[in-house]
Amino acid sequence: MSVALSVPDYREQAPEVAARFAKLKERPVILDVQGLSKTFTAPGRPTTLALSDVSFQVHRRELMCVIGPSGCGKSTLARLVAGLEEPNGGRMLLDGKPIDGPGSDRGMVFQSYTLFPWLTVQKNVMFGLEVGKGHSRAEAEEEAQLWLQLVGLTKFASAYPHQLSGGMKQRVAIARALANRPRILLMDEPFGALDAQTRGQMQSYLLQIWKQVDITILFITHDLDEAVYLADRILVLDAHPGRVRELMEVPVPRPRGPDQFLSPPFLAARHHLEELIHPRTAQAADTLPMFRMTVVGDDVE
Amino acid sequence: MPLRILCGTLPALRRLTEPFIEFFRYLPAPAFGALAVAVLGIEDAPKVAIIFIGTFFQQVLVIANTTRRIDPALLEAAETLGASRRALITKVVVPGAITEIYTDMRVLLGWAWTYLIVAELIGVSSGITYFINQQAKYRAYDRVFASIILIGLIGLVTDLALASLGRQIFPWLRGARRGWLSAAVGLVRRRRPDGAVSKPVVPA
Repeated sequence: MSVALSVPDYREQAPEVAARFAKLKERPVILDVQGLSKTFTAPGRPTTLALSDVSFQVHRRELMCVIGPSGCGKSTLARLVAGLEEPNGGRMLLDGKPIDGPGSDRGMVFQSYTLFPWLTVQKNVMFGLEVGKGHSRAEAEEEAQLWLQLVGLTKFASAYPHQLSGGMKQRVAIARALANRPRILLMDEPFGALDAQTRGQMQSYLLQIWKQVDITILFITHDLDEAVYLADRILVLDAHPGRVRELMEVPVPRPRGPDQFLSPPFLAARHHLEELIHPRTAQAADTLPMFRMTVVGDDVE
Repeated sequence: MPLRILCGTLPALRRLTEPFIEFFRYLPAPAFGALAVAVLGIEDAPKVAIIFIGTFFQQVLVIANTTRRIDPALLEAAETLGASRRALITKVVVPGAITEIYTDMRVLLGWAWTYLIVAELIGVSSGITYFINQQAKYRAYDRVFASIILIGLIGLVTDLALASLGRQIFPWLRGARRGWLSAAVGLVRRRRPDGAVSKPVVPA
């Protein structure tokens, strides 16, 4: 903590970073969320307000991360944009057209591996093309091979999902979502179930893919480092109810790499998020009401 | 089978049909024996009818339940890939549940087998149950036991054949499950007492 106090202000941007943001904001808006709210009602329980008056805009080819404490409704936000849930208020526009129900113009990658276990890797990638877009089998096959090549899994085209590791499964899921050529890719804690090493690998894969493909990404995560590493801008949500706390511009220059984790702008952004999400006053109150169960003098700390 | 899958996916249809199916399910198939002969004659038709009554209504409930257990995340993933409601059923629900349904069918084969034995008691002068009956009357119990074991063996062999066939039809399960031997042993254990059920039916 004391180290983080000596870092520069997170709002300080190097000239090239500032220029990048200026360019980014000139690009057309892909996703426009206006005053979105969502309540959940379960029988026998009080109504919970998951999201309240959430508004933001995602520009074309932007990578936006959504972060917040647990229960802030960040997953709900992704599911609303995907059309898997109905909002109780507000509007969501994709390319200026209102969102109504799930559709192939919004791809989604879930935290749980949602590959179809009865289809091979290639057939999984072909699913959206054949079933959703009505491409012919030959066309879909060709497209699928292209996307498998992009995620580096050509060798596993005829394997079944249970033969793949977690990271590979998520790469197939990304290829499957991208094959539909969606306007926006929604990722709901896609690397949350992976071990730390694979997660780091997947993050750099994602950045490489994002660079090569014309795709806008809305990335839900609870990992502060992940958010700072990946995002152009970070949407910070408050919990109970889920409200926009801040839309933060990440001052870390691109191209991003793992060596930036200790660079001053990275630490500044991370420190600021830490302050927003885990305020120190709340942490002090979280001390457990413990009593001593060891002999006096037998200390570990 | 389509009815059963639909029962699992459409709650309205389920509420409409399940009370009737529950009612019929508890009617013991052998009770229809005499009625079946009266209506359908003494050929194979009443036997088929008994096996049908004995297994169909069980099947509907078992398969509907299996279908309902499909991972909702798979359905959501398919929806975000642009699948229509119709495609959800044909491309996700059916293939997603089919292996479990296949296993259900293997279990139900045991039931069908039991009802076949029962059905054979009706107006026949040949067949294995007739043989068991006859030999029991002569008190040739060694032959009775041999027949019962034979019934069990036939059941075991068909089940093993179906299990290995299943691994051929559903290649994505290959290697994922290895417990077929113990499952088969379990099925046979269940079947033996079933075979013995026909004994008390024999008039002493």
